[in-house]
Amino acid sequence: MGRRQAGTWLSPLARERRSGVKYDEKVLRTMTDIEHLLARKSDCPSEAILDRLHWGELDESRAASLRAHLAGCVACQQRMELRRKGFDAFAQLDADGLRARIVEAAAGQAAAGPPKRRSLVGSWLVPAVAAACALLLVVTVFIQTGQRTALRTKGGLALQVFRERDGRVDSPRSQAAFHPGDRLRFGLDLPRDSHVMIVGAEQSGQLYVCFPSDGSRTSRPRPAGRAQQLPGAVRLDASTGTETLHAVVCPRPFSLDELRPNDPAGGLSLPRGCSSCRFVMHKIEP
Amino acid sequence: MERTQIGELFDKYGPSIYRRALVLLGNHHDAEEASQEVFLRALRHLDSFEERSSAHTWLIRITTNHCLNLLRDRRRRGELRKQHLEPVPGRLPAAADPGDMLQVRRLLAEADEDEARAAVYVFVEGMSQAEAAGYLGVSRRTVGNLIERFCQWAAGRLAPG
Repeated sequence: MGRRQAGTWLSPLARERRSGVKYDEKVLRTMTDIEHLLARKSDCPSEAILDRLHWGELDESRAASLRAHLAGCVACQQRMELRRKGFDAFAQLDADGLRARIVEAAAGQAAAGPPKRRSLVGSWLVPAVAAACALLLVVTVFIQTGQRTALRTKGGLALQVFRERDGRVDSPRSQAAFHPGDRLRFGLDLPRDSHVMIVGAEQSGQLYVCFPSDGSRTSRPRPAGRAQQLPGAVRLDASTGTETLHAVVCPRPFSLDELRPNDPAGGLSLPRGCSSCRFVMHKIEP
Repeated sequence: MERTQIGELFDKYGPSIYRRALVLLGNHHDAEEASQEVFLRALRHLDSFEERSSAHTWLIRITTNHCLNLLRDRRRRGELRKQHLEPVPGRLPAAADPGDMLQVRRLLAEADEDEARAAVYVFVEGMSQAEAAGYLGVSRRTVGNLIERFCQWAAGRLAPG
């Protein structure tokens, strides 16, 4: 890639340095070569800002401004595409293996003694998910599902999503990219007999029922068991954006009306005694 | 964050952390090891988490500090010279000059720690000085001073002879 014309390209440093401060040009060129690797322009957002845009964490005015920039910046479009691909962008990485090692090592840390800890629940993840998704036992179990291996935790509630696209079935990880038209089925690890509902939460806060397919109220409990295949399937509509699927389990019958979205990141308020586990989908155009 | 949430934390932030480690360290093996260590350090040091910042901000800080420490360790072991640059997704292959990246890593490995951190945020992350100030927990003026000192020092290191 050729260098930009002198006078039109400004490094972050050059943009911000006080007038009259003279830096060594060789230093600037060396350090800003990284920028050339990243193919940034002077007004391109930082890596962290693009991350937050990807996760939908920016206010709408800032997000709209960045989207306008993206529309005219091929380099930033590529940077966003990298984020949409998630771990799939790194062909050499065994992300499932890395995840398993981290979870196991974390369990080892737990076994070594209680941490000095401050609960970040609420600022990081939804409290209900924290309770529901607890890794109650440290044993990790790998279940072969289609083309990839999905990590499960023995003893806890877990939701798995099976995706059918163009005749192929896989089991993507939470935070993966999905396309309109993808057909989804669900698998569940259920630690105890419970009433179950799979609920989708759109960015707008609108909730919809994926399971059971016959209404917005549970009628009978499902028996406890691992790797249960839930009957029925749903097809993703044409809308794009981030949606969150929740597996909600309760010891008694419940209806969709008893669930409330409680944060912009797709969290749910649950009836007393219920718990949930979630799965995040980033819906994008193919 | 509860330690039981580590899997979900990894699912969300893992690609972002791994990508940063790969850019700073230059090879997948080290980036994978560093990513694992970043998440485990986050768990070990939950008490240092400041709730006014986001989890991602905190993880980026840990990643930057840990990768700079690894670069310094490599330098002490004399490994930077032999470091092979592996392709990083999202980069333009024609522009990926291993010599330039190696030079940058040498500078970051040898620089004052505070100055190196500021240089990573401003030059590698592409942050404004104001944005970097939030990650470093200092004023924007301090970031400007750190960058200025880094550049002055680096100019001496890069000077011929």
